[in-house]
Amino acid sequence: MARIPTASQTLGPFYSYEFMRDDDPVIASPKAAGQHVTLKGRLLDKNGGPVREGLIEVWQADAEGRYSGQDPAADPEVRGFGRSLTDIDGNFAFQTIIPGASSSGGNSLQAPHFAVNVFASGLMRHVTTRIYAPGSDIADSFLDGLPDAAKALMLARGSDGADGKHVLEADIRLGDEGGTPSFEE
Amino acid sequence: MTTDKIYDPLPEGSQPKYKTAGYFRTGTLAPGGQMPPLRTLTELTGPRFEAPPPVDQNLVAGVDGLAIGQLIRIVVRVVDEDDRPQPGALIELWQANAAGKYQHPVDQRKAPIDGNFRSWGRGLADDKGEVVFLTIRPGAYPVPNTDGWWRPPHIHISAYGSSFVSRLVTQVYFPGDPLNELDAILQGVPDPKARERLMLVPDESVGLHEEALGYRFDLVLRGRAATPLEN
Ligand SMILES: [Fe+2]
Repeated sequence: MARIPTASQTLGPFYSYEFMRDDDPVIASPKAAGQHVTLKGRLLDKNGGPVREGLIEVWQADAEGRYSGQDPAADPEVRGFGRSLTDIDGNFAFQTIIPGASSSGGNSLQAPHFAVNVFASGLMRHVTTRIYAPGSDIADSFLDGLPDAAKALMLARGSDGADGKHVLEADIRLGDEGGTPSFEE
Repeated sequence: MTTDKIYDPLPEGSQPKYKTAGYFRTGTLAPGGQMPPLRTLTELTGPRFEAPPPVDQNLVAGVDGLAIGQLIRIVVRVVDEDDRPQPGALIELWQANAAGKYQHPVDQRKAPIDGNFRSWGRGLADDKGEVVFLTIRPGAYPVPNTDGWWRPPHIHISAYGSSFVSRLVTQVYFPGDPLNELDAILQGVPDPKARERLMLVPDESVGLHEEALGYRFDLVLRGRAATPLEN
């Protein structure tokens, strides 16, 4: 019997803090192979204002482009998933590694990226987007086909953090003017 | 891990529009011109979760007795588009107490707090795809800074299915409540049949005799088998 997927409804402002565990933003343990980074940014609305109590979810491959649960050889220290509830200024942050190039499903590879789902009060359905790690020379048919402006909005900026750990920073801007490009799911 | 599922486009009208009349905030968050979806290994895989503590599905057993309100027992059944149960799906549920008040620092409204009620629960779907919650019918509550908009009694549900694409956050409602017709969030779903599918279904057989009203809810996550199933 074919069934129609249940309609989404907004997360609302009261998603319980009790759901959040200390290791929720830890996508890869300190023992994971690869370049360790803090992946962070702010969730913003159309006017550049912060969106608080938003839920940012990330799914990614290990340093060799393998997904946990899918590839038996995947690094057991990389859960691949993390989530972060934005604070009053819209900040989110994850502890992770830069993923390797992963399969597109066909024969080609994808540039290192983080898949992102965004939930917030007033966002009627979640928004799906991606954050790309900078500096990759992988030929990626999707990324290379984007207009420069859109590509720039999806690429994280790399820098060295105060704690010596590399930082990847990417804001997620919602809204229908100059916002982060997203997918029509 | 399910990379063998395919994900059809969502039927027209079955999902809310990002911009919804009567709900101002949606206008500042709605994304513009979106790109066609990607369906690579990234989207077709997703996280799995370990068993949460077993007590998490009972929201009404307080230290000083039962929570106040109409006791209800809800059987949430998680299935895919082929109606196949999704064991291991993580379900999170949160709701207001009988007075429409959440146990949450952002809920600053003056309304009674019930020390015996916990406004959140969590569970993993069993082999039948089911998670059973014992809770109460929540109260309605006003939305701040609006012209008298009250949310109808509703329960928030979050589900992680077998892939990144099958992720769902929704709200379920009580059939026949007069506030349902006035709610910008529920009415933001264009197709009336899709709104009807957000109603809890009364079912005496899953209640607790003379104790808790029974309801069922089928949570249908995206994805169907690549080759049609024989029935
Ligand atoms: Fe609510």
